This record gives sequence, C-alpha cells and structure tokens, in this order.
Amino acid sequence: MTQSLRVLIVDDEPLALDYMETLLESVPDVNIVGRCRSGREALATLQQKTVDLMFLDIQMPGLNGLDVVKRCQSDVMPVVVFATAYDEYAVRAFEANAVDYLLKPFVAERVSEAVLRAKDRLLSVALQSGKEAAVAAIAGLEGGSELLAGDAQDKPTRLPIKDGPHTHLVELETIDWIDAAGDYMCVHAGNQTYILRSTMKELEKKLTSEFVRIHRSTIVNLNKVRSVDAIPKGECLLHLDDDVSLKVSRNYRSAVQDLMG
Amino acid sequence: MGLSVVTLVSLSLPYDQLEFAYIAHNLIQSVGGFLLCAPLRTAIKQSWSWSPWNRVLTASALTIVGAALWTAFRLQLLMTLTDETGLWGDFGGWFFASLFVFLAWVLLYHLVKFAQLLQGEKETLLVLEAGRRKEAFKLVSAESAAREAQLKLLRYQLNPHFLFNTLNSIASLVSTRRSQDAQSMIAELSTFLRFSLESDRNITIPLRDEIEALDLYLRIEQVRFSDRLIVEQEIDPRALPVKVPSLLLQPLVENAIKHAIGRAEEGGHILITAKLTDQQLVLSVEDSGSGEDGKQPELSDLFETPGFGLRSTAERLENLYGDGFSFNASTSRLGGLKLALHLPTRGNPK
Repeated sequence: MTQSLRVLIVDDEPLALDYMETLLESVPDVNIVGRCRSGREALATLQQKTVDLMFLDIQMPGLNGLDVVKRCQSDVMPVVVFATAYDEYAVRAFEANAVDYLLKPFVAERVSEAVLRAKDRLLSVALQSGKEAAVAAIAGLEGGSELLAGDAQDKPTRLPIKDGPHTHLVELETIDWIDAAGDYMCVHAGNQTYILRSTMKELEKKLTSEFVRIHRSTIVNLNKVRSVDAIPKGECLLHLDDDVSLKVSRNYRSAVQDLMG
Repeated sequence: MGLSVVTLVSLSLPYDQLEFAYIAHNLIQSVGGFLLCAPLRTAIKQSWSWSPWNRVLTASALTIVGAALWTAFRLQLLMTLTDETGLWGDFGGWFFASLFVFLAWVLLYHLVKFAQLLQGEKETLLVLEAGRRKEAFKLVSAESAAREAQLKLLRYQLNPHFLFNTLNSIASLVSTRRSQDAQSMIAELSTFLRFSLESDRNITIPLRDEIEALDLYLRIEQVRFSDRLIVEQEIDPRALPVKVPSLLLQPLVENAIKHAIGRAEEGGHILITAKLTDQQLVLSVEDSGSGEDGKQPELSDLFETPGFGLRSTAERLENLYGDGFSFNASTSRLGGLKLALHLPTRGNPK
C-alpha cells in the first residue's frame, strides 16, 4: 500500500494534539487530514472527509471517546486507536478485543507501531468496518445486551433488548437509526445507544417499514430524517436531530429517493 | 499444715508403744503441734517483707521457741496420761527431736511459699508479656492505618489523570521545542508535588501559602485546558495571614475542573473567593457547570456522592474544628456548583 494513510486526531487538549501531530510527522505514509478538540467535531468531520485511522482520546468533555465510537456511523468509521492517560478498565477491554491503544505520555515507537497495525487492519479483507473491534471492546466494558429471541411479540411496535436481568422495551418510533459493527448492532434512540449482540437480518425482521437500509451497515428511521444533502459520487447525506448526519451509499440511494421528491 | 501432721505422726510411731495412753498421747501431741503451727505461720507471714537475715533469725527463733513449747507440752501430757514420772530430765533428747520436726516444718512452709510465689510471678510475667504484645500490635496497626490514610490522601492529591496528562503536555512542549514552557511546567509540577508530599494532613498554613499552591496547580491545568479554562480569584488581602488546613482548596478546585470544565465542551469559569468577616473566614469555589442536563447530582446527595471527595474534606474539618465550621453546597450564579466554607478565625484549630 503506497497510498498514504488519512489520519484524524481527536483530543480536547491542544498540547496533546500538537504532540501527536509531531510524532506522526516522523511516521512515513501518514497524512493528517484533521484535528478535532471534541467528540462532536470528530463525528462531523468523519461524515465530511474520508478517514482511514483515528487517534481518539477517551476522556473528553461532552462526548467522550467511547461515545464517539458508539455514535459514529459504521460505514464511515475508520480504524480507531484509543488514547488514555489512565483507565485500566478500558485498557483491559481493548487488550481483550485487539483494539490498539496508546497511554499518555505518548511514545514515538508506540505511535508508529499503531500506524503499522492500522495498515494491516485496513488490508485485511475480514474487517467490515473500523467500528467492529472498538464496539466489541465497549460491549466488553459495559456488558453487552442481546435481542430477546422469539418471533411472537405481544407488541410489534417495541424492540425488546435484553440487558442482563433487565429487558428494555424500546419503542420503535423513538429509534433514530441503527448500524452494524461485526457481531453487534448499535441501536440509537435519542441520547441512548444500545449495543446488542445480533445480526442485521435478525434485527430487520423486528422492524417496521419506515426503517430502511441506507448503507451496507446502516438502517435509518425515515421519520427522523430532517433534511437531505446530495454530495459527490452519487452519495447523499441525511441530517437527523441532534447534529446526527448519516451517509447514504449509491447502491442504497433508491431507498431515500422518495424523500427527495 | 497437713504435712506437719503427717510428719509428727510418723515421728511418733517409732516409739511403738501401742497402748491406749500412748496412742492418745501421740494423737494429742500431734494436734498440739498442729495448733502451735498456726501462730508460727502468722508470725512468718508477718516477717515476709523483712530483710532475708532478719527473716532467717526470726524463723530460727520461732523454730526454737515452738520446739521448746511443744516438747514441754508433750512431756507434761505423757506424765498426765501415764504413770511415768520424772521425765523432765529427758527434756534435752525430746527437744532435739522436736527441733528437727519444727525445722522441717518451717523449711517446708518456705519451700511451698516460694514455689507459689515463683508460679505467681511467672503468671504475672506472662500476663504482662501478653499485654505488651497486644500494645505493640495495636501500635503497629494504628501506624499502618495512619500510613494508609496518608497514602490515600496522596493518591487523591496525585490524581493519575492529572499526572499523566501533565507529563504528556510536557512531552508535547519538548517535541515542539518550546523548552522555556517545558521547563516552567516541570518546575510547577515539581513544586506542586513537593507541596503535596510534604504537607501534613493536620497542619495548618496561612491562606497565602494555600493560594500559592493552588496557583501552581491551576497554572498546570491552564496549560492543558488553554482557552477552555478561565479562573478568577477574589481574595481579600486581610484574609491572607489566616491559617487554614493545607491543601483544603485544591481538591475542591480539582472537582470543579473534573466535573464542570472537563465535561463542558465550551469550557468554563472557576471563581475562587476568600472573605473575612468579624469571626469567620469565608472561602468559596464555584464553577459554570458541565452544560449537561441532569448530570449534576442533587445538592443534598453531593456529600455522599463518591468521586466528589467532599465527605473527606468535611471529615477533615470536623477533626480540626469540631462544630465550629460549616461546609455547604449550593447553585452558583455562574451556572454550576458553589461550595462554601465558613471557618473560625479565632481559637486556632487543634
């Protein structure tokens, strides 16, 4: 792979951003495409630019690093390297799921090692999205839920999500969008993101007709779409409430054609 | 006492005169000897605390007197009970035998007494030793508890996030060749660490020094948060010499940074004030909040909420001032939390 790696750095501290940038400058084939000082900024940038690798600080105001992973559309999610000053639980979860992480203060060798690992990851065919491993780590951290089995539902307007002894009954109309990350599905409803072990097929069976596929790994609730932007390459961008933007791939564009009239 | 009876009886047996009168004489003289031993015992007990020589003399005198009295009693008794007469001439021989009986008795008595004494002393020593061990154990556990508390405090002051993020910032300054900034940040961090390590939980320092330490901490945080952190101070100069517990404000400010500034995307304000009223020093730390709805704990729960560290501050103040202080939380006009401390200025803390 001679093409250079497009890298995004996310940290709330300007000095930490400077430092990572300096360290990355000495790593070959790296092109820094952006620096973000908050999780929200990172999510917006990921919808605008193509990013291969993101260095993501965990402790950030507003949306922290783990929130960014949960809320980022699977189809635009780059490979993630987490950065943390001190978070033994997270580090354990990352190790278990082979997600790379850097401890502060950063060390030059570890940074270039992380870049090499990211390159390997990007080359591997098995990987569907950068979100896969990261979401598995977060599920390990928070204790993942699962979709309650059984087809016979008393109320088809609710999604039963089993979380240990709890079962959340999530009203379908409150769900904004859903994306897949490997073995997990992320169900986004308002400020909540439920991570559950399920496949796209299983989940689709429980959804009503306003939920449509807009990308290989993304389903949106059409009722929640506020506006649509056409962008180059025949793709388009859907805007939902709370600054959420989702990319629609060319293959699935027909699904939202009706919205654009 | 029983021993004396046996001794007397056995000594009398060799006479081997098994007539009623002789047996009666034997029994009665034993009882007599037995009765004689009672005052002897009392006298020896009396002399117990005297010097050893005096005791030996007393014991010897008592033995002789006791033996003489008993011999006279035995002779008279024998002559009364039987038809034998003129036995007084044998007094010397009888007395000699009695002397040994009494000597044996006195020695035996001392032997038993000493054995008892030794046993008692041993027990006392054991009890003492056990007590001493218990004391030592108590001391060790108290020491370790104190050390643990100190470590806890240290760990609390040296928040690992703060330390590692600061080191990362210094590494950043070095990598971008801002050596002046790096140097001053290292110096500030060192001074702050030294202050934390050397500060005793119980000592009080002038507010001036406390504010100085706080400024060190804030300068480090300022570099990290840059434009996202704005700190204002309103300190009454008259309050500067008043003594306060060391590192009292720093944990409160660290809380404000962690829970408000660290969470607010736009950053925020921290206001630190010190006022002096006639009897009290009023300190307050307030912040502009996290900007997140519903993330702020209820004011009433705040002192019990782990992670805010307010309870440990309250406990510390209780130890120092008893009931003479107040520590409360309210909503700040800046939008976040306001923590206010009222400390007595008179009557220095313990």
